[in-house]
Amino acid sequence: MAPYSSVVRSLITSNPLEVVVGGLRLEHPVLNASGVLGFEPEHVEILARAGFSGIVTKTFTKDRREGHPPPIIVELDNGGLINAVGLSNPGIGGICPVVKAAKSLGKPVVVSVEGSSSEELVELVARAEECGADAIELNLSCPNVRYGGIEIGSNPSLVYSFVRDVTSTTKLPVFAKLGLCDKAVEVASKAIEAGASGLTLINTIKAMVIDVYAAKPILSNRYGGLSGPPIKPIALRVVYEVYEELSVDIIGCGGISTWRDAAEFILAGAKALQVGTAFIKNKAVVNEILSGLKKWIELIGASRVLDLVGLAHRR
Amino acid sequence: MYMSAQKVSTVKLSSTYYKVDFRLLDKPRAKPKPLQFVNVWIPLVDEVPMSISDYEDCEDKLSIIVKVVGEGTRALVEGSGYYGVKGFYGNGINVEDYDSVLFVAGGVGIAPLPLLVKRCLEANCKVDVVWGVRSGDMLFNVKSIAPGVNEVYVATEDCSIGYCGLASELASSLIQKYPGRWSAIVAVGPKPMLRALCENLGDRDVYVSLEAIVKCGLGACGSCTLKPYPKLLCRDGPVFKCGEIIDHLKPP
Repeated sequence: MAPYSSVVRSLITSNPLEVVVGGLRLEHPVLNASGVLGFEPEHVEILARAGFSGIVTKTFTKDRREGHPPPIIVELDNGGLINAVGLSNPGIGGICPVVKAAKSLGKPVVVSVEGSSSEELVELVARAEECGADAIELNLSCPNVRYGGIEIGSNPSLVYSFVRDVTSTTKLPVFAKLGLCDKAVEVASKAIEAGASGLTLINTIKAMVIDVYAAKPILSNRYGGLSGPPIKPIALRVVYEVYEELSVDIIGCGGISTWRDAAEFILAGAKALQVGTAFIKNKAVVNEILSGLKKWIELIGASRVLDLVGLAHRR
Repeated sequence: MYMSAQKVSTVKLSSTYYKVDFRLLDKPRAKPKPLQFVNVWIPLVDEVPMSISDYEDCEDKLSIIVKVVGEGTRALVEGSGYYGVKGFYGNGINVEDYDSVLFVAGGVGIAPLPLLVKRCLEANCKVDVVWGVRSGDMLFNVKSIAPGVNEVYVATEDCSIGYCGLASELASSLIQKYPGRWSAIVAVGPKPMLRALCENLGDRDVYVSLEAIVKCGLGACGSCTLKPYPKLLCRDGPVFKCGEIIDHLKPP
């Protein structure tokens, strides 16, 4: 028995794609980005089948939210998407079924939460922990809501207090999901100071689209969050900048569509990645990214993805 | 993709149904397939999923058939000017593999027939139709919107015209009467109709086109999940073989 189990162990540990980010162990770095499906057990199955190493849920709020009326999403010619779904979700009661579905499929699950008060947040996080979540992602940067959105996420002292409220009441790793803002490094450092295990960088970027014949904004909410290839260089810059200053655990997110994008984020300092828009456009994207990453790692003579994290900072 | 569109006309077809034509101001990437759908944005009002009824390639003219059920559909029928058309969504259906199709429609489920007939004729396949409605005044001449259609059988629940009863009953009895006449059955209509057809006719080459709340149309928002299946109407449908979706059709 001993030789067999040692073989198995060596196979497991020699998985070149395995990563540990903020204490969360993943068989490979590619998670789904929050907001793509993720509030029904059926959604979890779709995401698991697509090959994501873990499931990030849709952001849950305490009360059920209907979200914005349609149009809630517009495809742009430049490959981007602008969405203003408006955090529609079934409320706190929806957390357990989704977590259980992920666990039954053997996937670690990160529960994304957003609250308008620290009491709400604490309640949401407690529920996620009870249900068996593996980590929390604190959505501090949704561009599509009035409360708890990007206004909080760009205010360092508010970020500190929201993150502190959560980390002081849970044992789970907490990732703070931040958006694009001028004070990215300052906000990020406050989140870490408040006990976050890592950061998810970045959320969609507030944007809009106007129909030139109807002469009106298309989204019912007028503004939405831009995602996809157009934001990739911006997200990459934020990851690089924050890693440069803080060397913290980062989940990179923003327009990752190919293995090359993924590799860039890893070199910039991301230990794991989230893919949203590219998955909407291409069901096979996860496997395409993974096989590309494997070849890349081999070609440059590295033994595992973790050895490459932040390599672009080396002078 | 998002396409700006200009409304060209509204034609009243019967007491209940209107044909609304748009000219697409942006060139679609591909021709639509039968049973694909679009989300039509009505500025400042709403956005509604609509089955593609017909499409003229050279003029980029897109037709839908509308039954007024709310503010959005009313604005589609009565309004004018510029709209947004998002699509073409869903997988639609490939009719090339069949030489004879029976199209079973319940109510506004008649909408996708013209494009289905057009694509069928291009592939040397003929289309017969069973159309059921609640009352006779809802009916219109199907050949006026789909000139290439072969036989048309109608059913009314008020028994005023044609078969007295449901489209699913009429279709089932025709299939029993003419075994082997149709190589595929394609059904569009309310859930109970689709369920009855699936139960009566089994799984073999019976296709049903489902409806659900479609918000984003891209497989992102999750509003059109076909519980209990890990399937989305916009991404995996709207057309399924009965066996793929039978549990979804069961009453809750």
